[in-house]
Order: sequence, then C-alpha cells, then structure tokens
Amino acid sequence: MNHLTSIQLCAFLDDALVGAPDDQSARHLATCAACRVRYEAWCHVDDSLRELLGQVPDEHALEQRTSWVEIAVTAERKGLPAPEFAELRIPRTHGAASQHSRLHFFPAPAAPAPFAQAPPPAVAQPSPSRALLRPPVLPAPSTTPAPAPGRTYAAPQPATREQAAARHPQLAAVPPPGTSASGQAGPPAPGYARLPRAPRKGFAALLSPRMAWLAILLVAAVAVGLRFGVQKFGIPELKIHFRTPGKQGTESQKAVADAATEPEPAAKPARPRGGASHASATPEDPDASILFDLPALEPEDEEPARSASEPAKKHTAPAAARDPGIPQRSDTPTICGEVRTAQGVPIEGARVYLSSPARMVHTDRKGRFCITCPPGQRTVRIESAGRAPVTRVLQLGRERLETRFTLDAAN
Amino acid sequence: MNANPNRSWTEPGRDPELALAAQRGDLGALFTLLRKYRRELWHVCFALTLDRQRAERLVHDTLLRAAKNLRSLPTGSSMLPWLVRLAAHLATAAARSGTAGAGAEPLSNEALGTPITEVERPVLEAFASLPEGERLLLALDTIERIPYGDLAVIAKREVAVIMNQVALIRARLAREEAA
Repeated sequence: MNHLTSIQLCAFLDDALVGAPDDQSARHLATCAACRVRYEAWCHVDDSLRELLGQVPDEHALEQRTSWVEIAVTAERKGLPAPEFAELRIPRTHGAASQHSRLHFFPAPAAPAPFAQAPPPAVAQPSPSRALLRPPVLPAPSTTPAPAPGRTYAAPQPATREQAAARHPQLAAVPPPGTSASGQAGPPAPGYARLPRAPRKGFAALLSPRMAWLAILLVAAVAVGLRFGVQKFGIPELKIHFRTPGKQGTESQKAVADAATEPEPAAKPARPRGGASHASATPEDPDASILFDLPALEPEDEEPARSASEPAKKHTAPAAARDPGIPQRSDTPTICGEVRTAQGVPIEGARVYLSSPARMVHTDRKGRFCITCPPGQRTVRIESAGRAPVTRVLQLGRERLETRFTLDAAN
Repeated sequence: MNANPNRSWTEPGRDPELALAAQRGDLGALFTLLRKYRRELWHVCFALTLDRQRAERLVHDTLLRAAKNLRSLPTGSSMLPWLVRLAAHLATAAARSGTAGAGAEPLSNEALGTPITEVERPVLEAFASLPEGERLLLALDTIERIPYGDLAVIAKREVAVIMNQVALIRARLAREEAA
C-alpha cells in the first residue's frame, strides 16, 4: 500500500483536494495508521500555530499606528519635519507591567524622553512646544477584560472622544473623528494630533493678504508720484508711439513719404505730452520713434527776435491756404518750416528747439521740420553746426504755421 | 485569523483605483488603502516577529514604507500581497541586522500576549527558527488559510513549488516537535 506523500497529506489538510483524490486520501487515512500518525502530528502543529498566532490584534494600537503613519505622510507632503510619537501604552495580559518605549522610526530627540519612565500617563504631559506634534498618550482602558481561558485575546476598545477629551484637554484640538486628513470618512482616530500649518516658502510667503495690500499701496504710490513728478517737475518722460503713414494724396504727403522711406534720419516732430491728440500721426513722422523731451531753451540773443518777426509775419499764412491738400486739424496746431542756408540750400540735421513746451527735433534732408504744440506765443531756436543760431518768436494759432529760417555762417 | 476567508487576497477590487488616486496626491485614497489591510498585515507581522508590540511596529514601518513607495505597486494588482512582501522584506532586514525578528529574543508570554504551554513551546520554537519566508508562507497557509494559487501569487512562485514547500515545512515542524 502506497502511503500518502507529504504533498498529498498537506493538500488534504488544507482542503485543497476535491473529488476522487480527496476521497481516496480520506479512505487511506482511515486504514493506514502510519499516515494517520503523520496526519495527527501535522494537525497538532497547525492547531498550535493557529492557537498561538491567530490572535486578535489590538485595534486601539493599530488605529494609533495607522494615525501616526497618516500624520507622518501628511507632514511629509506638507514639507514638515517628521513628527515624533510616543509609544502607546499597551495593556499587557497576565499582569505584566506596561511598557513605555520610543519608536525607532524617527530620530531620537536630544532631551530625554518624558515617556522613558513609567509615570501615570496623565502626569507625563508633553512639553508645550511639542504639544501639537505629539499625540497625547491615552491611558489603557480600565475595562480591558482579562484573557479568557480559550486564549481569545480581547482587544481593548478605544476610549470615546468625549471621555478622552475630558481627561486630556489636548484632544479638544484633535480633528473630529471619522474624518481623515482629506475629509473622507474613516474610523475614529483617538491618537490624532493636529498638524501645524506648513510655513510658506519663497514667493508664496509674499502672498499673504497683508503683503498683497502693501504691494498694491506701494504700486499706487509710485504711480501717483511719477505722474505728479512728470506734471510738476518736468521729469524726462519716455514715450513710445506708433503710427501708420497717411494717405499719399498730395505732393507734400508724397514728399513726407519719400523722406520716411529713406534711411537717413528724418525730422521727427515732437508731440505734446499726455494727451490723446499727440498720438495722432502727423504726415511728417511716418515711422515709429522714441522721443525724448528736452528742457526748453530761452532765447539767448535779442537780435533774432526782431529780425525773425518780419519773416515770421511774412510766412505766417495758414498752410491750408497755400497747400489745401494738407489736412488741417484745429486741435493740433503745428509749426512747420524749412531751414536753409543763405544760398537756399536745405540744412539737414539742424536742431530745432521749442521753448514751451520743451521740444527738439531735427530737420530732414530737405531742411524741413514740424513741431506740434499748443497755440500761443512760441519761441523757436534753430541751431546747426558751423552756423549762427537763430531764435524767433512765433504766434501760433489753431492752424498750421509755415515758416522759413535762414542760417548764416558762424563767422 | 482571516476576517473573510472567502475573499481572495489577490482580488484587486478597488485597490488599483485607490492606488492611482493616491499616486496623484489623494491622501484620502492613500489612507483608505493603508487602513484597509492593517488587520491582515498585523497577522502577518505577528507571525514574522512573534511579538505583539514588534508586530505593531512592523505594521507601522510597512505602512510608512508603502506610503512612500506606492509607485512601485504593480499596476492593476491587489495591494495586500505587495504589503505582505514589503513586511517580509522589512522583517528579514531587521532580523539580519539583529535588532528585531523572531529569533532575537526568547519567546515570552508577555511578547506573545498569551501563555505558552509546554506542549506548544516546541512547536513555537521550531516555528521561530524558520526563516522569515518559510514562516510567512506557513502562517499564510495555516492561519490565514489562503489558497495555494494565491500563495503562489504572493510568493511569486509556481503552485507546485508552494505545495512542496508547505509540506516540507510542516514535516520539519512535526519532526522537531516529536524530537
């Protein structure tokens, strides 16, 4: 008679056999004493292991361990240092003394652990600085039943939240039971400690409401100050404007367009500050440009004022009367003119200063310039290298003013 | 003891979904996963350490390691076999370092949480002398009553190998008990 192999006996013991093999093994065990002895010995091993190892876990301790893991994971996600936890006082059976020890998962603190001794848990209060990180040690439930003779380990039930809070005021800050860190429902967590708020780092630290209000006030103050300074004290102002070329319907516009397409620097008329009117393109300035306002120049000599008055009067006819093709804008009076030598040659690059408002432009290759300015009495000064400057006072109305300057040699 | 003997340890259930959510930063899903198998994990850790307190520490360590290394969880699989392997790995490492393990200290009633009779002591000492892998395998087979197929999945071995190994372990324990 063939005995059962170890694998057959093991499978029979584990109820892994079905059908005919199971019946054959059972019949063989009923008749074979040797196999039955082995079977009984294996059953004894299994029963002993089940009796010894098949205990019920301490749900209270498991809950605390799980809570610690959750706290540690949450702290890690928030960038906080790993919290320290005090060992739960686990009730021991058979009158064994309760043990307090520290976990090895986290670095031990420099100071001696208050839980190293074995005082009553109510006395061993954590230091106030660590009160938020360290969950309070709950005393062992007094209702822990003694182990029954049948070795059914009765796990102590966790204390209710109200009872624990009455004994330990620290638990009042514990989040309500049944809610995990993400708000999901879960079993009560008696060992929860409230995590401190993660400190903000970097740019996030500047996003506090107080800092945001301070930043807004600072920006507003700077904006107001700049505006006030520009208006009152004439702080040089950088203006960038873009304009498109106008229609090329007249000869003067064609001439301007020709000047604009050439690479040489053309006359760039200045624009009044601040208003929408200055942004409108004059036909003489088809390119985008950057204009820097310069301080006004007062007339240095009296002579040009007198001598310039006559030609100014002579050429102060409205441009529309002489060149009706140029569109006139009543709200943007313009001083235009030509700068030539005594021989009638156009002077290119001559500096044209307007006193008030302060403007400075250069003449183009045809010696022409245009300055847009408010109506009134304006002083224009023309300078060119190697030539005597000319200053002229013009009375500008609401129309375009055409004038001509003649610069003589310096000597 | 297995709370639900009919449930297979290898059935993924909602584990992949929760694991995916946890990997995306959902702490609630992560905590649900960690709480789901802590009882089964404790039984495994208790079989590996033969000490209730060490078992709880090992559960803590295993859950913490699992939370940090959740990305290494095989896609679409149940979390419990992975947790068990993780616990066995940690227990083996602790035993090798001599800081913990079933054979680090003599068996005591206090550590086990129950008195040990003279009849049971040889069995338990023989069980404690087994390597961690064999102890885990026998505990899963005897105490948790996990089918051979699931044991093969957990241990990543063939079913025949698992059956042979369990039989050999039982025979060895019976032999040492008789001696």
